[in-house]
Amino acid sequence: MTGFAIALATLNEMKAAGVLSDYAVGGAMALVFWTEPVPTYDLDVLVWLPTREGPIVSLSEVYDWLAARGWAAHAEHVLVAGIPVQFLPAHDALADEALTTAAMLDYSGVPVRVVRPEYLVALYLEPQARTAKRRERAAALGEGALFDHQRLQDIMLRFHLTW
Amino acid sequence: MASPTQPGRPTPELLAALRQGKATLRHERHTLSLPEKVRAVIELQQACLPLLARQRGLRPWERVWDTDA
Repeated sequence: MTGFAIALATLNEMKAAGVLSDYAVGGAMALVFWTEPVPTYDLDVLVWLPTREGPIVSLSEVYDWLAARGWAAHAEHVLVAGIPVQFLPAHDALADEALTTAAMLDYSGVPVRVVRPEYLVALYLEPQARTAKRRERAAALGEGALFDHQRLQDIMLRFHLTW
Repeated sequence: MASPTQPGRPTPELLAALRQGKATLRHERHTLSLPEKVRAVIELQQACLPLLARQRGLRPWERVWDTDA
């Protein structure tokens, strides 16, 4: 099993163990499931943590669980089988919806939940996330054969997003 | 899966720390030696090519480099 497949299998283990309520691969590595690969250094994972009172101030429980299995945290990433993984708690309703609607795909026999391309674009268009690089990636996603433009329009309307 | 009734939200401080972590990682990658950078490219090829192959036929040059870098 490759390092990337091990990292994905670890996400499934974390969900089964209740460390994560749910997850979906996001960011540049999610793009790879839908369109051409783009350079990236890490694996972004959108997550829901088990319900706790109050805001999420740290990811120490996630990091501790992984550290107990030999995967150490560094600079808010955990190196899992050589892949730096960053866990991003869902920060708003759009992120929640991206998690809810994530596609179940397969990577080398490992099932994996991946944010759908229309939600990747929408997340890139959020004011706090907009960069030239991300707009470029959003455009590339929109050219994909599987991209549902009507779905993106609906999301942009409901979440007040613009290009 | 349905979202938790009221999912906890990350604090602005945690979000800032996550962004800073990404910047730190990027900076560290910039300062890798050239052979280390090439190894990072090969690791990316290993992860991405199986996915690309599922979307379309791979072009002749789209394969993991056969190198000891």
